[in-house]
Amino acid sequence: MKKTFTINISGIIFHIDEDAFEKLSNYLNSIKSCFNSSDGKDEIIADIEARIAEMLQAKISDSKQVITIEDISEIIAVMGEPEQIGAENGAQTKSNYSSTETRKRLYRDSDNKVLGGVCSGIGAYFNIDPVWIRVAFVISLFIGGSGFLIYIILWIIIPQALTTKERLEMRGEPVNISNIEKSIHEEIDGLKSRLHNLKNEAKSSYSRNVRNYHPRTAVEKILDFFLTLGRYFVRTIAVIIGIVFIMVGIFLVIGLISSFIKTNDVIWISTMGISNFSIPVFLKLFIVSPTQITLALIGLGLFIGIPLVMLVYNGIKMIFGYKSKRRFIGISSFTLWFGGLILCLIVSVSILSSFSHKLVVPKNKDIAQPKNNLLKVYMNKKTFVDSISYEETKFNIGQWNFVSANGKNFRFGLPELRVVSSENENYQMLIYYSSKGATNEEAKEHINKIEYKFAQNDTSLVLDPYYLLAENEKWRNQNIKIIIKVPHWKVVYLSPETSSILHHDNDNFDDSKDLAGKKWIMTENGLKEYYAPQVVGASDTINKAAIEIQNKIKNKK
Amino acid sequence: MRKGVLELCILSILAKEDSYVPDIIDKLKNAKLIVVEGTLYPLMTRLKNDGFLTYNWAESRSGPPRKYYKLTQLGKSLLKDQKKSWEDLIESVNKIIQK
Repeated sequence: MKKTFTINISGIIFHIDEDAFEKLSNYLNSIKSCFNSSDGKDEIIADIEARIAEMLQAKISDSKQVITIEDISEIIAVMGEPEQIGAENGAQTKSNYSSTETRKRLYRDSDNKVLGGVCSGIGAYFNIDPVWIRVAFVISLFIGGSGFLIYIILWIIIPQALTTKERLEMRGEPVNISNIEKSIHEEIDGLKSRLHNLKNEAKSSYSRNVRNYHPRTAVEKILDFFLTLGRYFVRTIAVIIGIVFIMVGIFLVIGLISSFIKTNDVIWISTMGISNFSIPVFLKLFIVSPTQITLALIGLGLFIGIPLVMLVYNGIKMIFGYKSKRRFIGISSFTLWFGGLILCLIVSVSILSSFSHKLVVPKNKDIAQPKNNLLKVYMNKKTFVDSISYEETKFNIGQWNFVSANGKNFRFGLPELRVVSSENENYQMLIYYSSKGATNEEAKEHINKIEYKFAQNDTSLVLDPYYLLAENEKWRNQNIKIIIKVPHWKVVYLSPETSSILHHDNDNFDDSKDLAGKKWIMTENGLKEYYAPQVVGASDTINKAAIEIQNKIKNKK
Repeated sequence: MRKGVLELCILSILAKEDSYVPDIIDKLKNAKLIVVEGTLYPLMTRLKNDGFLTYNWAESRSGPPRKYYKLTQLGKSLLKDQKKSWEDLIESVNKIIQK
């Protein structure tokens, strides 16, 4: 006694044994998966089902009313195994050779070989770009040359994919989520049918031709299991790397795009608290021509953007195990990237040319001679820069600063202050203005737009902590150096605030802060610390030094 | 079995008379061209979708209605082209073989 089902194929009703039903439905399912991406899939399946119904109709008679598993086997023999149909179909729709019986095997890929096709074969097996395998091998060459030996061994033991079937086995089905799911289902289905077969064999009924694939040995199965396990493991790693690639790539692309957004400030702080850098505004700080800015933006965008986009693209490829044979993506992206590089170089050269001439213009500033032979140097603390609140945006290249406040942009720089000895008996002040330009004339124009202020009263000199550039003035490495000349045996006081701009050539001082906040006397050997004639409670050495200095001053006079 | 050759055979069979797939299979088998029936269905559908074939339904005594395929005008000209290139191919191959 056997259980039967009633099924409807193409509108005709059949009674069918349970095992025959399973075989038939497995067969139809695997055929369907053959045509998954063919255009007329539904029509093809309908045609095939109609034909199966017709053949089944011929099998039944009054004395035999139920379809048996042998009938199904015969029909399958006429219609063809899924892989037979699939292989023929594969020539037409490509990639559809997939069938339940195809196993993935490791071959050497002679179509994509560099040496023996080992790497490309491994890549095909693990479904990752062979480039990564090659990179790994090249790296392993530097680790004791082990990669070389492994490569030779693999070259010898891995067979080359020669026939179409072998090439198909080499590539196999892409290991992706839906296929993993499918393979689990197939495994369960296969288990079911094997159980049935066992049952049937025990009943000594039918039949050896049901299992028309040759049974595999235990060793083969175990090997297969570990290879499959290894394959999924490598895939998992590739997927993880792919995800990292995509995330990093997307994050950087967003960063790049937002840095191309034009704002008023070079640096802006968004509401999300992400500080950013605006490339267009930055370029505008030193590039005159808008065309050049546009070119530089395109160049930079391609030069930085293309690798990022390719990073995301490769990440996606790694996740989905998708290998494109489309060379043009690689070639065109490289061309674009290279074009970007060339653009960047062209713009850089033209920018550099506007930095080619350096001009330094010294200007003597008249200062009144202070009383008591003591010049006090202070800093002006009431400049506009100090009035700018901390939250305002600020950006600097070296000593040159860009500040945006109250809707206005200010360009200013920190001067350099040096104290040297005077060649005569007078305190003197000299300011060196310097700038670069494409020509000396241009540099001179830039110099004329440097604005520096200072004030003086009877004993003190009040310096502005910054020099200003005119609005819309481009950055040409404008600089000023303030030289204060102190006559021999006269004293200069440098207020603590001067430390921000104070420089010195004397090796005796470790830090410009050593100079600031103290009085200094100019000697033949440069600046020495000056001590007042009478210091109450000072140590003996200081008093001794003070007396010595006082004597020298007197002698000089 | 090369797809192109199979296509040529099908077109030639259909040029003689309208057929349904098992007829075509029989004729191929008679000519000792071994093909499983399943391979023909996708091919027929594609040829039909490309406009080379069309079909009529015919009632059948046993089973569901059958699709009888026949050549369209486009199919006839495709057959002519393919015959020509097939003969050219044979000629070229023969030339090489006989050398």
